[in-house]
Amino acid sequence: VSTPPDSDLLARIAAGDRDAFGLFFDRYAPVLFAFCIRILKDGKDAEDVLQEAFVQVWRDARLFDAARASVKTWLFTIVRSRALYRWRSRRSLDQRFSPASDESLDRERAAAGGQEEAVRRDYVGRWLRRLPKDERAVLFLAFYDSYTQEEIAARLNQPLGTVKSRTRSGLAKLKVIAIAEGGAGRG
Amino acid sequence: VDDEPLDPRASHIAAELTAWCDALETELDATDEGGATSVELTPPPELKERVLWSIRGGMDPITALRPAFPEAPDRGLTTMFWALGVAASFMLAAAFGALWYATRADLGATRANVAQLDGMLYEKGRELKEKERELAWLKDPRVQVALLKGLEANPNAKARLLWHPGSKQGILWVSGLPPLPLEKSYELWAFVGDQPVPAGTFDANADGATVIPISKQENLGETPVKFAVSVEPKGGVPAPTGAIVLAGKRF
Repeated sequence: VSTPPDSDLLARIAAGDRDAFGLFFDRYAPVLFAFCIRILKDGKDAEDVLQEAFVQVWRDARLFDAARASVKTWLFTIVRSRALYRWRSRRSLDQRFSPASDESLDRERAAAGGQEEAVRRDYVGRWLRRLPKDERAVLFLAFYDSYTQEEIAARLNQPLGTVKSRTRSGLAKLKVIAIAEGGAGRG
Repeated sequence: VDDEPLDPRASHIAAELTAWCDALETELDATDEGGATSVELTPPPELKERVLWSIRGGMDPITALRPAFPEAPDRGLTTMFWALGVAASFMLAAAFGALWYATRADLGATRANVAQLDGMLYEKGRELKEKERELAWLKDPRVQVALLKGLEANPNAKARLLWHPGSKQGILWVSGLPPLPLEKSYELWAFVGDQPVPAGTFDANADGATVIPISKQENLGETPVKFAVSVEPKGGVPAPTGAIVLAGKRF
């Protein structure tokens, strides 16, 4: 039995074909579910993120641009963005409902929001600048501009394989720096 | 940062960055054609039902998943009459099936068109509301104007800033500033007294003319009196470190 390529399935989904959507779900849900679990460490959150992401696929399939990224990369970008947003929201909620929280503290936090964003960018920028030049260049585009690997390769005029290997080695070093500088690491 | 005491915010920022790194690494593993096989984990079966229910626009999931045609009772064919009846039924079913298939294809395309038009309508409505808000904002008598002039490095550069002290938002028109290297960006500073407060970063276009909406700056307690633009590391810094390229006061 031949399996339709991703691009065909996505074109059919864009035309409102639910059967194609079902096939697409079956094809990608297992790997994306594992991906979400790895980021969120929570099955319920992972299910919610996956549901939101696939509904977005159904809605935005017509916006997919094969010139910018492969179907798989496009799909992972959607899921990663939603999973990290959920991850941040959950941490924010944990802090908001901590025993020390009260209204005045919330007001102070809101007032400090702009400054905190600048501090966040400052820290990440400082840690990124400690990477070798080639790795730094690809991670700058991935972190600040949310570029896909294909877009980074085009922007820097480098082969995709080179960009991927520099991203991998840069990420490994960046994690070591972040954990060393941030103390406890992941929470 | 090696000699500095550990900032409690650093732990939170590092955790967020580590999560981002993990996510991107896993994504690279999974999207690498011909690379290591990615980890798979089957989601609960009801998740697919929930997703399908969502895209059906809220139809009851049990109804949505029910077969369109119930199975016919199994009856034996003992006479020619029944055989002819069944043959006729098959022909009718085939005709209806073909009709149903064609109609469903049309319906799918029509639904996609309607969804697309709905999306466009929603976008246009949102743009209109946005423009109305901008117009009301510009007409507000409380909006203040600041003109920023280029300093030594870019004497021809200039910028005009509209600043609303109530909403703490602004719009900046910049011209004559050159695009910066990848790792740099321009950062706007609002001075409350002599204290510079970060008010957002931006990149200049290749043609040198840029319009930058400045998002709400909750951190500005008082109305700023002076504004400046400096060249800073990409993403911005909490206090200016680079060369000031534009500066000016509000009227």
